[in-house]
Order: sequence, then C-alpha cells, then structure tokens
Amino acid sequence: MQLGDRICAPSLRLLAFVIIAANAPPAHAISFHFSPASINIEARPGQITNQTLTLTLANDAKPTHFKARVEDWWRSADNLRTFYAAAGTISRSCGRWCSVNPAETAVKPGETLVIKLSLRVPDDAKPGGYWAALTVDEVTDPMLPKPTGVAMVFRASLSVGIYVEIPTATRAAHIVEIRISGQHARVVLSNDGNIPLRVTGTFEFYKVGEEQPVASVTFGGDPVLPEPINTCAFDASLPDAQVLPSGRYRVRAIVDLDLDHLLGAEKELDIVRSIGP
Amino acid sequence: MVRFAIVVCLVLAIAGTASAVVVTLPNETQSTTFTANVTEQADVSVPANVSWTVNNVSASAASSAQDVSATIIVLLNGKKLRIEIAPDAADFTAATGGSVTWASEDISWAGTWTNGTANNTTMSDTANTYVKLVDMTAANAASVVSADLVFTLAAKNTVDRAGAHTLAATWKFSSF
Repeated sequence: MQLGDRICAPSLRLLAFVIIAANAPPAHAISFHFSPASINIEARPGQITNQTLTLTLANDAKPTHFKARVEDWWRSADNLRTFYAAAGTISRSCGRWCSVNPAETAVKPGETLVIKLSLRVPDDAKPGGYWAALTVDEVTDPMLPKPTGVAMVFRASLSVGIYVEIPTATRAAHIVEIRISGQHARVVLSNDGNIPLRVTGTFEFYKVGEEQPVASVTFGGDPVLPEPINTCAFDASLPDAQVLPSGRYRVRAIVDLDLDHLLGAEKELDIVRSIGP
Repeated sequence: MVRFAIVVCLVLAIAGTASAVVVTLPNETQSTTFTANVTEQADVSVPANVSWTVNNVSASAASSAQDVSATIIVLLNGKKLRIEIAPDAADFTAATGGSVTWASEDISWAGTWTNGTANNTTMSDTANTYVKLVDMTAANAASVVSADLVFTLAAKNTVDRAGAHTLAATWKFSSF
C-alpha cells in the first residue's frame, strides 16, 4: 500500500457511512381504526340521508392529513384488481348523489376524524341498485425527507362501499363456470340483475360415484356487480393434499347471493396437487 | 288505608311509562332487552416506505421484510377485508439526469399471511389500479397479518443514473 492509499482510505470509509446513513428511510408507518366498512341504504327518489365514517389515528402515528371524496369503483373479472374512477363514470353510480364534509383535514395522533356523507337520491332515480365508494386518502407530508436511494414511498387509503337500493331492485344471477385453477377451485358468476349481489358459498369435492363429499371449502365475501363487468371469479384454496389428493372429483359449487334460493352447479374435474418443497 | 293505596296507584299511572306494571312481590317477570349496535370496523397498519439497495442493476433486489396487518376486524357476516396496493404512477421518478428507470410492474412481492392466502404477484402497470395482496382464508376472520412481506425490484440493466429513484404507491383497505 502506498502513502496516498493510507490517507484516502479513512475518507472513503466515512463517505460510505454517510451514503448508507442517508439511504435509511424514515421509520414511521401509519395505523388507524375505521368504521364502518360499508354503507347500505334503502331509499326512495327524492330522499336525503346522512351517514358518517370515523377514522381514528393510532396514538403512535404521526400527525396526518386526510382527503375524502366519493368515487366509482368496480372489479376485474378475475376479482384480483379494483379500479377507481371519477363519480358518475358508470351508469349505476350514486357518486354524484353524494357530498362529503370535511373534504380535507388534519388529524393528530389518537384523534378521531368524523366524515359526514350526505346523499340525495334524484327525483327521477329508477328502481335498482347504485353504488360508489367513500375514499379517505392519506396526504403525503411534503416536508418529509425524500429517500435518497431506490425506494417506494407509501400512503394509506381507505374505501368504504356505498350501496343504495331503490326498491324494487332486480336480483338475478347464474353460474357461468366451475373449474380448477392451479391449487384453487374457481366459480365464475354472472350478475344478471341491476344490483350488486354479495357472494358466499361452498365448494364440495366428491369422489366420483360417492354421495358424501370428502372435503369442502368456503369462498366469497366480495360482491358481483351488474356493470361494467358483470362476471366475477371467486376462488378458494384447495384443501390440504392429504385430504384431497390428486384425482378426478365431482366438484360442486353452492352459492348464496341473498336471493330466495341458492345457486348450484357441479362438474367432474381433474385435480392435480403440486409437489411441495 | 284504602285512600292511601288509591293515591299511590294514581301517582304510578301519571309518572309511568309503557313499562309501568303493578306486580306482586317478589317478582322476576320483568325484563329489559339491551341492544348493542356494532358497526363494521378494523384496525390497520402499514409501513411508510420500502427501499432497495441496488448494487447491481443487472440483478434483482429485495427489500427487508415488512409488517402489514389488519386486526380487530369486525364485519357483517360473510364479508372479508381486502388489502390492495396500487402505484401512483406507471414509472419511478428517475434520479437526477437519468432517463431510464424502473416501471411499477417491475415490483413484485411475496409473503405469508396469517388468516390469508397470499396473492404474490406484481404491481399493476397502470396508476391507481389496485392489485390484491392477500385473500382472507375465511370470511369473518378477526385479523390478517404478514410479518415477512418482501418487495422485489426486478433487474434493469438499462438504468443509467445512480441516486434516488422513487415511486409513490398507495395501500388500500376496503370491504365492499
């Protein structure tokens, strides 16, 4: 090692330390409690209704700015993606019927934000179901130091479904398909009515020729909308391979859509279990 | 004595409500229904950011494990809480002087969840399109938690500047 190397090495180590330290991002996260998770209203044309959403910031959170708005939403056919758009984008939106107050406010740790939603049903609203989302977004603090390396900066957002039924809505649906997709059982439903339908159900697996299922799993918890995409897939992870090994099975889907009857369909399918690590 | 009893009865009638009943003591026939109206609710917690140490743009880089949780979930029967993420833009903002940077779809994630089946996939290539991270295993579960969610940034050997490349993204909690 030459004399110049000995003089430069400590400076390089100090510079490296500074770069690494500068890359360390701010450590705070966001935590909050909210209620409710959805707003369900049965109303008549011309009726006005008021609802509230509360959001309580955790005691150890940082002071946070929030913005509230009403917007449209819908899901992809595979139920894996959610799309949001301006209120009034879809024909059965109730977004433009709504106003929120406050639209923007700051919340201190431990404090509760109360957002008031006022909804006025138009006088000429036709029977059926209408929906939107009340969305509350965290506003990024512009004073936060920006990351100096490669980073993804997060903010949190909460969306509460707003569902309005103007009697009498048409509730109708059918099962489009049952299949095995990888290690999941899948049922695809079509909403043939004019109101979102909440889906719960069960997959039952029967050995061919037998009358009692060897296994069952539940699915659902999401709605299937009548538009703009009126089909939706509902998956459930297959039971453990020890319970449901590879083979040919009669797969039955029993679907509850809050109609006056259950929907059901079954199909003989081959199930191939993946080999675990 | 009779006159006094009559007065007492009248007082009871004037002051009484729908629940005023004359009973013979001892008596255990009276009841009151207490109703608690519980609204849907949840506690949620997400990290503020993730970072990657990219020493080699020709190789992918993994973040540290992140904690994401939703607890004290109380929903109507049959519903699930949904946790999604969306980029605020389709591409990172490149470092100063740079023209090539990562796209939002260059980010993938993997993790295990308590009470949830992971949807380990990539971020949407479209701003404000939310992709589900986890499917709650069962409706009505009280929590869904991950302590090992790792975000991976894909290799991109065309990135042409060192420094800060950043992307803003939004966590979404909903139970439609």
